[in-house]
Amino acid sequence: MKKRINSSSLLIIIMLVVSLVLAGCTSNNNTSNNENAPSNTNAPKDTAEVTPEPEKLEKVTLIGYLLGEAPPDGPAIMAEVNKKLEADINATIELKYIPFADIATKYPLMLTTGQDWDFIFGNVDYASNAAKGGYQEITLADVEKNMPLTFKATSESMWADTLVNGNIYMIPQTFKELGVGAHFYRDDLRKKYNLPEIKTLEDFEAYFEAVKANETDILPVDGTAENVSVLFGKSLGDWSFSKQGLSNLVNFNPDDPNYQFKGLFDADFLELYREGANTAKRLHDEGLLPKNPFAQKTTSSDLIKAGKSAITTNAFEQFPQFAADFSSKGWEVGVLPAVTSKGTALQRPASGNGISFSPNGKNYERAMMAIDLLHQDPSYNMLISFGIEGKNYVINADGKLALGPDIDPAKNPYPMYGAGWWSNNRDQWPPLENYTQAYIDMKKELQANAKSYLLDGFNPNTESFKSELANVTNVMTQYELPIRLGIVKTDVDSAIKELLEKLEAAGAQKVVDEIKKQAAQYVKDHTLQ
Amino acid sequence: MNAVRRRGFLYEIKKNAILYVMFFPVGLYFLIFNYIPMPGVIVAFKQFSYNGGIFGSEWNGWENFRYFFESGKLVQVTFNTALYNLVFLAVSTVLSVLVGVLIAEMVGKYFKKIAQTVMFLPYFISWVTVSAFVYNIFSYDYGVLNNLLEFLGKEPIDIYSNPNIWMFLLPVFYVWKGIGFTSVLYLSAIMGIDQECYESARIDGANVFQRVWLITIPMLKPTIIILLLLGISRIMRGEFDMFYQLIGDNGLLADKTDIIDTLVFRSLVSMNDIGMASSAGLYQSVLCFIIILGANWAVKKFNRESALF
Amino acid sequence: MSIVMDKGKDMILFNIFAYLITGLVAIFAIIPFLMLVVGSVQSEDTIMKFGYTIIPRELDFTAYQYIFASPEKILRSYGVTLFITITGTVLSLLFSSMTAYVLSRKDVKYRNPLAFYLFFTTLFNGGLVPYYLLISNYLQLRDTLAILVLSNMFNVIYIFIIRAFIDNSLPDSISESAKIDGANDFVIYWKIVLPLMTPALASIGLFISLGYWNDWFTSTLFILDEKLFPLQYMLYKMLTFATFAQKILSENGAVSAMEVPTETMKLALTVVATGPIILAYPFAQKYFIAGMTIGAVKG
Repeated sequence: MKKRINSSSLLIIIMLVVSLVLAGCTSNNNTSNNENAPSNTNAPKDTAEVTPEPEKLEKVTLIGYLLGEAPPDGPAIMAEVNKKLEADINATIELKYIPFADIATKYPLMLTTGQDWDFIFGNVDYASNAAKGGYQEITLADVEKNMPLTFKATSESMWADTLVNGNIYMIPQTFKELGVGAHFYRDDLRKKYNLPEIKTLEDFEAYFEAVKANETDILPVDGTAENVSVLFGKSLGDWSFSKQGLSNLVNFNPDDPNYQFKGLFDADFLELYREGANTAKRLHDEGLLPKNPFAQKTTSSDLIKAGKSAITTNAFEQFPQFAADFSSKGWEVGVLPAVTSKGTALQRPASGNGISFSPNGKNYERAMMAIDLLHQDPSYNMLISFGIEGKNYVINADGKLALGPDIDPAKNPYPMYGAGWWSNNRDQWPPLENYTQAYIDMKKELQANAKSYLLDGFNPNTESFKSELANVTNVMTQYELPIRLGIVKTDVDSAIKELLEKLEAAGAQKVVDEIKKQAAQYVKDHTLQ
Repeated sequence: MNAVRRRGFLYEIKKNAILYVMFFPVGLYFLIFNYIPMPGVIVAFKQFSYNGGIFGSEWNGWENFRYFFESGKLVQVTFNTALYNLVFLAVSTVLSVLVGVLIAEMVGKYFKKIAQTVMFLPYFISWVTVSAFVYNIFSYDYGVLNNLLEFLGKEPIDIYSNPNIWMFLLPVFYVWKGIGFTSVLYLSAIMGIDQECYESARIDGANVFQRVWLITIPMLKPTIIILLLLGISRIMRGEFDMFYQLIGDNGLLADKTDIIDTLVFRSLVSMNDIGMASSAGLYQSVLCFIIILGANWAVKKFNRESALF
Repeated sequence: MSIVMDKGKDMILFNIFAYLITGLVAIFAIIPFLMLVVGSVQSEDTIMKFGYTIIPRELDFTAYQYIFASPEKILRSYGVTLFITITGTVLSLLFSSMTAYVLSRKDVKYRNPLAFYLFFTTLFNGGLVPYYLLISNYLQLRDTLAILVLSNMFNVIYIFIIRAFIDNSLPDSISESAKIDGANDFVIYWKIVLPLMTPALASIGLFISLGYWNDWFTSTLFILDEKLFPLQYMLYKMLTFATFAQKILSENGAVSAMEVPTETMKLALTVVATGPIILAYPFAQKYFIAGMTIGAVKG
């Protein structure tokens, strides 16, 4: 007995020592790294466009939170940024990251303390966090004073997108970003079976049938419930656009000049919906839609890349990625962007990316100055977006941006968008070397027809109907989603009837009425000028 | 009267001073880490805002509970949660005791060691991975099961649209994942039983079944009761991870597989509202509290020493 | 039951039954784990195409290469985890059993209120926000090893289980007679109760250490400093970062040359995280499987 205890306690002591050594010796190397940033005294004096402040600003360290994780070259590049910032506004930035997986828990907690940070990536539940006082209210006078470049670059409608209860809580992105979804499919298969170019749901049906009949390893459509259900949008035509989370209750049409919301409680929309539901059921019964999408955890984009699905629906901007992945397997990519019948493409609301400030931060003004430079000064912008010129990237003879000569693309130490800076002005960037011509052309065409639509940027204040909204969300998941997937127990009509009854009971009418009312007011406020 | 009681208190503290000092560290720990933050439960009655914080935000009465009470599913999910947990508790107790007894009494040193280690493995497999494996087997379109049925010339079956199958499958998965864990408890309880009892029973000519039935099981009874009581104290807290990963948003199964935690998750997934999120938790707490007080009272009546408190 | 001498009919029957049941349970337990280990050494494409099996089609260590891309990170996080697991388990076990002993003593008048005081915390809690504020603003324990040890250090349920074990296997007479001999309560606990509790302490210690080993949530809340990441959090973050990063990249029109094998990585992460535990398991196991005769200790 005694002996046994001795041997195990010895084991514990040895393990403790080992673990201490492991934890200790590695932490030693790192302490020296941290001191690099501030100790750089002989920073080269940049001849920046910013007019030097009349009085010397006191030196401050700004703490900023972005999403994700610092890429390997992140610290080196931030050291470079800080050198410039120190010369320009006598401030440095200490960057911290909220890991993607922890956003849901950690982000609200950061707002709860409101301390220890000066700026934060703004678009995480932006509207509700802003309404609850999570961010500093921003006045245009402050912007004009501290952020001259931003003030010039931001349009009236961009500020409008950031309004919550009439106030601004975010410095929005100032570049045009497409908010366009797209169906990607296997163009090589389409050509193999001599099918016409795909434009409509009927074309897709013929394509699915050909895949089902001839390709035993490929399901025509496979993916998560969310992936599969977006195909339903094809049935709704121009009315398929909606705010996330409330699809088919308050949909809008980007070509509608009257700025109306329509949904299941509107008779004409309901007819469209019923037709779509019948189509979905037919596709499902014919075996063209998967039987168990609720249990499928693998996304359609992973499945199509593995040759298991024939379609995936994603952001249009995934085009270059799919093109590269497909061509490496000898396939061709086909793409059908979701635009209206008139060809109108949606531009993302400017609040899609942006920076917000702490309501309790002591360095609000200096944080504004720093963000102004990072967002809009090309030298800062290129630095945080692509790294150090000559090392991380080079501009080739065509004026296109390419990776630095010593960078292994599979282990890029500063990948694009990898450092969490997403709101800085992308219009200042040169085109990328690895974009295909098809993508560049199609993007140009979409952008020419892109517009931001008022209702897309509108954020309802849900406080007065939050109970109803919660129950409606639940009903939609349980009773509406299966209809879009074509999985109905008996027939479509009774499934829709049941859905409408459940929605009624959950108070959906109140939700819809309230949102419509608020939207009308919002539209009125923004179309009068 | 008062004076007597106070002397009684001081006398007790003095008499057992060392024991109270021994309790102190853990008592202090729970004071700091659990009791100090506990007033935060009031957020369930507040309209939370960041500038007010928990104490400064405005009261809004039962508003945060309204979605839950008006969902029309309150009774159903409460019932489902309790029923599933009762089934889980019953099945896993019976099987764990059985496995504990078998491993304790069986011969074959290496076999039982290996078997016991192996039973622990499912505990390490996350529910996400389990659900991927299960889909791999049950998928209507390309699952192993339907491939097999097809090979045998039988009709394929659609497991994911049949709620009744899941009422049976869920307990199976629960027990599968936890059996290594719970059986260790019973095993070590058996190991704590005084071996002299067995020796004398053996001398009296009792066979192994009699020894198990007449010595092991009765000796395990207090442990079983405590573990059952501890299980009952969590009866309203659903196994969210398991239900969410295996069932997900499947509307076809929802009526029979929806528990409080999944309903709340589905309703609030896009809400970002701390008050509403904690209201259901408080509801679960209060129900658990009432139930465990009742259960503890009942156990106390029947066997004073086995009660929790 | 290491010394089984009688192999009567009953024992044979019992063992047939025992082998059948435990064997069956063991098979059901091991097959999915084999699928997991085998799956972790397949390529992502193979998993997608053919699903999970227990017979490997190939050997492909992409997932492991991805995990060990910077081995010093993983090594350090192993160190952190090992440290918090060992320190935490030893401290927690010590104080838990001490508390359980106090609660088991019938002559402690207030033992039921004390038990209730502890038990109440399992029913009600204040939620994340006040806890976070307490730890980070008042106790200033953010980004420390201490919070990794302290958060969830004691589990009331384990204290009650240990108390049940003490009630079960330790007659009150032992404490009483020791007391008459003049030993104080702590000495009784330390010299008599603790040694008699070995099987129970081994199993509860196992649970506590698994809790520490698998805890990533504390890090989610309180740790931003990568040097202090425990293994599970490091792995969990690695996986989620890979999937999210790729999504964000391509949704913004960037082409990434990194193909992250997310499915196989999930499996490989489990192997990396559980491997050491399975190796260490027999050390704990011998205390609750081999059995010990109480008489031997008593005498």
